[in-house]
Amino acid sequence: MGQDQTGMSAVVEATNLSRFYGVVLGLNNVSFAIRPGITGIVGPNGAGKTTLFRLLTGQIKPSSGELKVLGGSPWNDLNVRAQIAYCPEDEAVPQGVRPPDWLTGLGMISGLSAKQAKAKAAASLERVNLPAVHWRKPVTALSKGMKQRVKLAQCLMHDPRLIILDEPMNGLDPMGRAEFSAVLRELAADGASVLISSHILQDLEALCREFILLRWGRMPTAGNVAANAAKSELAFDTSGKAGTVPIKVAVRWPKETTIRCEDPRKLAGFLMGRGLLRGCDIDEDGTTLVARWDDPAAFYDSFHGHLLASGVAIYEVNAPGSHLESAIEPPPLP
Amino acid sequence: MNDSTLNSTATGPRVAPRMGAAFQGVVRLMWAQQMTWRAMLPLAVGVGVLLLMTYLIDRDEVVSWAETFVLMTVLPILAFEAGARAVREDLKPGAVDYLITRPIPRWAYVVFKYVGQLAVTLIKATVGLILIVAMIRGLGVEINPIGLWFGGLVSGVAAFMALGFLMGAVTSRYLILGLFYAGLIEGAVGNIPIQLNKLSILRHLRELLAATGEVSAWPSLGFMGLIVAVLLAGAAGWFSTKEFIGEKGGES
Repeated sequence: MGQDQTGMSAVVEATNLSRFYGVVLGLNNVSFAIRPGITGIVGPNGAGKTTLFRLLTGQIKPSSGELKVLGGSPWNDLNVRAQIAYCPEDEAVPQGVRPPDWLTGLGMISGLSAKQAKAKAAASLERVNLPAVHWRKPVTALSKGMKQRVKLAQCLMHDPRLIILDEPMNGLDPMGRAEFSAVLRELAADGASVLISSHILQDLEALCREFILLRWGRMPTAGNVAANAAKSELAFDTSGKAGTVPIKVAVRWPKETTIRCEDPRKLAGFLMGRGLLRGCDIDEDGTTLVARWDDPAAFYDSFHGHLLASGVAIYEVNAPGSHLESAIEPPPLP
Repeated sequence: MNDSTLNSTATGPRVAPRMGAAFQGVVRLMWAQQMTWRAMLPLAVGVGVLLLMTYLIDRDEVVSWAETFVLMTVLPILAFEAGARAVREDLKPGAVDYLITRPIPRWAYVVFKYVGQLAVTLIKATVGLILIVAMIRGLGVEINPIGLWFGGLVSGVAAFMALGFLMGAVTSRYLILGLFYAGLIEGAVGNIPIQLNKLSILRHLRELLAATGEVSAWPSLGFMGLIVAVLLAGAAGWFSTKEFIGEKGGES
């Protein structure tokens, strides 16, 4: 594994990587390095995120350029694939199989003995908080949120070093997303690298230290990103090769957040009591709190915890003009 | 979990890939999906219908009916369909993501899947045929030699399942390809007295079942083995080079 300018080993290195489907563009000449930790892949639909994931998991080959995952090629190196786990966006799961049976089979395909795989399946399902009552149901009969947990659990079976998650938070309620995020943080703390895409940008902002921006199969150039960053008060670390390193968001939290909830007044009082608010408004309907933060990082660094501790039922959290959203916004037409 | 398969070093896989465990895992998943009461129900209904037909057929015709209809028609179709469906199920978007990203060579996956599917199908088919043979004997009709009959079952299922694997791997419209094969190879070429008729699986199966002092079973068995190997190699080769671009096809 190569090292980047900070001296950290890169888990993924792509050099002039392209992938085309006939005349259709998937990825076009992108170069980047992904360092250990949790990295977000962001971009609008059709940006090339899933193509990148398929390349990283060895399901497709690059049309040109070079891709190294954990020092090898995922297309034909079994040792590389033995260190990768993939949670696809697709909801399809095998028919008629219960979660423990499915996980045990997949664990054995990864190299575990039957006994090890059974034990690991139970441990993984517990780790993702799948209630025991769902263990006896076929995976196909589970709700979307429960399926997402099982899909994450199958990623944990062989203790991978790189976990790739494509829209894993779809269908999860706020509490489920908080639990999911906590598991990902634990995995990162245990030394696994996590690569995650999501359209729920607030969650990504709270979870990831670094991001890769994709747009129309390309990575925006450092100049474009910096221009957007300036507009949205973001600071990007482009200290590596221009446009080829993950973009480090140093100042990324929105100063204002709208929270639709059961009791905005109670929530405002709670947040004020914790010294998080600089000011706030409650909309005319009395259902939404517009919170202006004293120190946005103090709230966002553990926003799931703050909201859960408030005891107020939360329906929606939104940051108008999320900085990440601003960063991936396409540049205006000339 | 103290086991030699686990690796706690800073680099390399924490769980080393093992072909034996992978084979067991593939078979285990298949078993969990296919050996359930719900999955068995259509089979039970089918066997029930065949038993009823066996009972209703004229006693003098029942053995020949069982051979030509059950062994030469029903089983090849079921074996072909089971093989093709096994491959297609794994190629579905979603399913393929969980399997192909695991540390197992693609050719090995196809072979493991074939062996597992063959075992599951033979178990089901053998149970059905035992009931049919018992029914025939219960009618007071001798059916001999039973061993050869079941030999025909194994080789026929193995060959048609391999054909299903190849056609299922190549296209989702494997039934059309299968009908084309049935018409051209089994229906036409297989009945013409030229060397090409050796391509017909049913022809070898017929020779196998009719094996007497005049026609030895070994050449037919050899051809069946060769056919299985070639078809399976084709399916494994195709699977090994295929790129899985997902449901949205060219879209990213």
